[in-house]
Amino acid sequence: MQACLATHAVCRPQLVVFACCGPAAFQTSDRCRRLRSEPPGSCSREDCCFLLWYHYCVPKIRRGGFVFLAWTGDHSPRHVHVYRDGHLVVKWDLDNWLPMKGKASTRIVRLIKQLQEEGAL
Amino acid sequence: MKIRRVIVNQRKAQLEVVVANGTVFPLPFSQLSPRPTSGDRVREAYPDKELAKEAFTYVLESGAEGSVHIDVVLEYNQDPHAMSELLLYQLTVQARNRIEQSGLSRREIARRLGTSLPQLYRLLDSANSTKSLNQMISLLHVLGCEVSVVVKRRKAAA
Repeated sequence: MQACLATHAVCRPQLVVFACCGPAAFQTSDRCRRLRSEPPGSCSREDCCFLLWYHYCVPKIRRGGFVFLAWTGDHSPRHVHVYRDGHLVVKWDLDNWLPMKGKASTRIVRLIKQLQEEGAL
Repeated sequence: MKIRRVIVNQRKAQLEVVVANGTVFPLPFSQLSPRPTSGDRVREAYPDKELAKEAFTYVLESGAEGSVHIDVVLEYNQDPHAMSELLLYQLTVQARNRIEQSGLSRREIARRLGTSLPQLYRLLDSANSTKSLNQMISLLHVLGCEVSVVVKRRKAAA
């Protein structure tokens, strides 16, 4: 597990995820969902590390009822796949800011923008 | 393209992705992140229903997991359909950019192309992968672009 430095919205502005807080210790996304619903400032350091690890190391990102799967390829532009209820909603080109497949609502575009600003995509 | 199942081949250090039509695409462990190692092997790999079975998720013995979209597998294997779709998309992006720069109205471009306005919009729809390459090249010519095709031997897969 490599350390990553990032902004954490819940408790502390900057945190390092240490090797001890790696995937072996945290295996479920339920914990992530529970922690995200808690008020800011209530998380422990371990919780924060978990959230950061989850956010940066698990490729599937869940937000607003959608599942985002980002990918950078050798040939294709940087893009993200957005799914809902087991169906592809849109494949969104992050470089040209265009749909590659499907249609994106303004809400999805807003969520993608938000994730990009957070550095998750 | 839907994934039917994923086979873990420890001996070859690769995952074998079986798609709906029965084709098997290999994907070496080196392409995965987190990367499986001899000390942290792949415990399971399965088509992910949450991702419409267009991606698979694998779990390592350490508990780390990763999800890989079929696009990654197709690109690694240089699937001809995926590559031609990508080329068409890139030409569409170029055409859209050129239209913005040209200052020509869409109606005028449609007239010069000898087509209807709805057909032009269909050509400019980046999510439409069923349009023809011919029409796209014609459009780029109308926009004052020279389209040259370079055929070269691709690099061997890593």
